[in-house]
Amino acid sequence: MNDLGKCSDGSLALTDSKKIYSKDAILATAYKFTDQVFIDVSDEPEGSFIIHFRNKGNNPLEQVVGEFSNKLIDQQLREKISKDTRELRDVVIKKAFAVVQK
Amino acid sequence: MPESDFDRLINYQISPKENAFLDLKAKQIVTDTDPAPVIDMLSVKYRTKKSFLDHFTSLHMVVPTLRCNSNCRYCQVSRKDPEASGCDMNKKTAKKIVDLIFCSPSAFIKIEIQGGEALLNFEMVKYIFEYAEWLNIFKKKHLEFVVCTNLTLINRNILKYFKEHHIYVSTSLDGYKDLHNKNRPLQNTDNSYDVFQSNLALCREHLGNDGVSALMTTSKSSLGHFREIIDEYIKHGFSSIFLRSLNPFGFAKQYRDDVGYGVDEFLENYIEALDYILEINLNGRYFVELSATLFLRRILTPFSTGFVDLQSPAGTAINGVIYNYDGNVYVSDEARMLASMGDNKFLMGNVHKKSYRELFDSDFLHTLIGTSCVEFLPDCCDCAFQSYCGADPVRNYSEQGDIVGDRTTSEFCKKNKTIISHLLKLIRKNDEHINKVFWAWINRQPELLKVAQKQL
Repeated sequence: MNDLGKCSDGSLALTDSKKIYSKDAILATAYKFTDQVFIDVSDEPEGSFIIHFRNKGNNPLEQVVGEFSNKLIDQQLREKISKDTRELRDVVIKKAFAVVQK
Repeated sequence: MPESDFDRLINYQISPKENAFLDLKAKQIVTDTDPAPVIDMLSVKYRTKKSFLDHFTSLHMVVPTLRCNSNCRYCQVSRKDPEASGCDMNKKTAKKIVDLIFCSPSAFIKIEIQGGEALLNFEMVKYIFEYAEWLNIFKKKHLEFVVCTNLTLINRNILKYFKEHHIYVSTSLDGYKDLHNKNRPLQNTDNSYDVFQSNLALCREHLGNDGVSALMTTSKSSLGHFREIIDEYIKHGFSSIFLRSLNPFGFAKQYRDDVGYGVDEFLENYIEALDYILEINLNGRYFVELSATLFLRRILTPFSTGFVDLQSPAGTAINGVIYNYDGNVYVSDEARMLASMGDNKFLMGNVHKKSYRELFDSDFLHTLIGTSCVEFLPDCCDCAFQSYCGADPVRNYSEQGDIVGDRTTSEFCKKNKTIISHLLKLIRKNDEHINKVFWAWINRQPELLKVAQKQL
């Protein structure tokens, strides 16, 4: 389960398990929110990532963190599906462009 | 399949001798023998479904002008006034475009003229068709021409030309007079319907009934009136309708409050209209709903269907492409509409600056196609309706900011799932009369429609 903590400077810290989420998925998701919040991702040795959120605008931070968590699931799934289907995808793309490349 | 049989199947409790198992075995869903030949058969089926990839781009849409004399409330291409300058195609660009069209490896080429109102630049339309005909003497492709027009500028000379060059006409009819006029006024009059009606008759006089087809667009004003719209199509002698929702581009997006609506509202109207159309067919009159027919063909036949807006991989550029008046090439008409709003994300390049291979075999296109297969998209990859559906990366980007999209909030996904579910429900009834209607639509054979009077 994700762990959300409030820091003394008003920022929020979300702890995500490395068992569930990859660094790439976290970074890809974090990038999508850089227009709304300041984000800092740290790789903790205990098997988790800590993502700090500091407000940039007027959006409630808890709302942003909630959306971030949802988007992270989506991003992780994309990564998994991309890996699982790479071979078939390459075959389909090759087939799609084969006649142009002849 | 009865739920009890399904439960036993997934718990490996069903006997290979039972009819339930044998039925599934015949469809290569299960096997109790060597799986290799079964996988071979499934491979053939998969290749058949994907056989539209064999041909590459066959639909080439060309925009000779952005000028238009209509004033449609939901215009998706952000048209220009009839007197505007700087938005007409010149001969150099037109020649380059036609040269590129014939670089396509497809044996079938359809050149579809769009706009604006295409007939405002009729000289360019003629040039494009005549140059294509000349090139085709050497290329020997199956060539087809279509002009999309509001019919207001049609006259006998133009129709004579269309007949000589075997050009089909595609026009717009949004419904009965008040609705059509409300959605599609002209710039100089609100009464476009009367002009449309009279020129439709003129078109049919020269080109025959089958030489003209019509499309409707659903605006907020259309909701609640689908029956009347269908009746209007029948009144004008059309034998089909495509009940399509509004695309979120151009003025349609800008004036969403005025013309737009949610997907639930559209679906409620669509289902009711489909039931009405079925009733019309069951009463003996052949009348087709085209989007339902597309899905039915995918559900009930193993064959590929070439509908560029709902394919996997998406038909963007590899099946249909659009060339704008300035030589810019976009992956789809919707991509052009996005560009008219200032977003060139799906611009492939310009015909004066890039070769055919640079336009159609680019890394950009490879990436786009690679991220537009339902087999590889979150949620789509696990969806039971996967083989009936398709991807639309341009719509995903427009509505959700991302070409992959998020199915949990996708109106496109909800619409397709709802329509497919409804059709499966109708198929599951196994009513011989409804089945006959569906097969008449799929096979385009009105004569299959021999049914007794029946009420749904």
